[in-house]
Parts: sequence; C-alpha cells; structure tokens
Amino acid sequence: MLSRYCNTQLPPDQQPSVETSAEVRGWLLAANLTEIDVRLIEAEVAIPPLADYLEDHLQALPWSAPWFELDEATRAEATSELDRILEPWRQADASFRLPFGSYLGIGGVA
Amino acid sequence: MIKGPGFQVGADAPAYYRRTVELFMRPFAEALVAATVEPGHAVLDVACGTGLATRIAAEATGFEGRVVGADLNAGMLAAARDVPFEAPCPIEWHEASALELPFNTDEFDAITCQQGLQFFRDQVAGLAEMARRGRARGSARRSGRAAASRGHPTSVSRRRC
Repeated sequence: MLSRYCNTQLPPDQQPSVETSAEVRGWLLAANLTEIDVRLIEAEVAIPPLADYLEDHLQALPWSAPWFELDEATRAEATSELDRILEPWRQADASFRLPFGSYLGIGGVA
Repeated sequence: MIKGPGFQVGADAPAYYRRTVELFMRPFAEALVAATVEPGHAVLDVACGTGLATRIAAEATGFEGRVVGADLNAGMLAAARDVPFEAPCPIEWHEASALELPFNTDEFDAITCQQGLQFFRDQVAGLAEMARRGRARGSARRSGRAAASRGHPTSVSRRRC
C-alpha cells in the first residue's frame, strides 16, 4: 500500500527481507547450524492508535526514509488509508489488536 | 545486527522501543529464550536493542549464568543499561556489529537474536558469526545453540514448514 505514496524501491541491501520459514531454514543450514528447527510463534499484539504509533515506529526502522520524505498531507492521507485497512482489528479506544507471527529458527553449533 | 556504517535508527527509537515495542514483543522474546537458554548458560544476545531478550535470558540462566548483550546502536545500549532490573547474573553490554562479534570462539552456550534478523544485510553471514561464538557439540559444558527470530503480520503469511 505504501508504495503508492512513496518510492519504496530501495537498493537491495537496504530492503527488509520477506522470508518464508523455508528461507529461514536455508539460512541456518548455510550458516552450518545443525538439528535445525523453525517454528512459527503467533500472538496477538496491542498496537496504539496510529496517530500515537505509526511515525514513532517508522523512525525506529532503518528503511523509513522514503516515508519521511513525503509532505505532511500525503503522510496524513496514507495514514488514513492504513487506518481504514486496520479497521477489523480496531478496539474501542482506537488501538488495535493484530495477529502477529514470528519465525523462530533454532540450530545447534556443529 | 549486521548493520553497515550508516545503520542507525532515529534518536527517539530507544524510548519508543522501551515504551511500546517491548510490550508487544515480550511473548516472542520469551519463546526465543525458552527454546535456547538453560540455567547456568553463558548467553550472547545479538542485536539486543534495549535488552528485552537479554533480561529475559538473565532470568532464565540464573545466578550461575552470564549474559552479554551486543548491539551496534549506542543509543539502544544506553537505554538497555538504564532499565531498572535486578539481574540474577552479570549482564555486560557491548557496542558491536553482528558481523564482527568481539568474543572468543566457543565462548557461549546460547546465542540469541530477537527480531534482529530482518535488519541483517547478510543473514547467513550473521548467523555463521553467531554460531562461531557458540560452544560446539561435545566440547565444553553443553552443545551450543543459536536462535534468531523474525516477525511479520500473520495476515501476510502464515506458512509453517
């Protein structure tokens, strides 16, 4: 969605990875770890209202420069669209409870 | 983390991590430590940020253990040091890149990396560097274990291997 608002064509070495569990397993194998186990850990996470959260979160990431290069009106428009997308997970206090998963890769040292 | 010379986060990031990220990442950090750390372990937490997993690891390894948190970002480490926490074992904080961890080979029983993998420019090189600091099977006290986690909204992908 954000690609409609800003240039997200970052150089390859600056792009966030979007791996699958198979890729995580492959990394562990390539790093010579043994007895590899990849688990998906899932939990519902509490996210504050976007106005209190989004830009705080983005400034804490290394690949957020394109967002902060946008003018204020465009950022507000994009935030509103994101807010609509997240509607199914909105709580009464405008915060969100989102399903979130994390691949946990474990390996033994050979 | 494997962060190049230019990898730094915003100046307000440490406070934000402490205020918000640590709250919603706690279940994932607890799962990481539970899968990796045993009482008495020497633990290295790579890309430790403000030290959430580091502190959980200290609780898990207990008074006979040792825990080291390493991160490239000095601001994150400063925030980690300032967290009021009565660790049952010594916690050391080191400013270091995951590509060049300033520790001995075979120094640790467990090496963890909580939500840092997505920031690595070369995941395999980072994991290999982590593994080099772990005790090999059959040597020292226990076989070393290395674990890393990487999160994503489950609405995007829920695949399990």
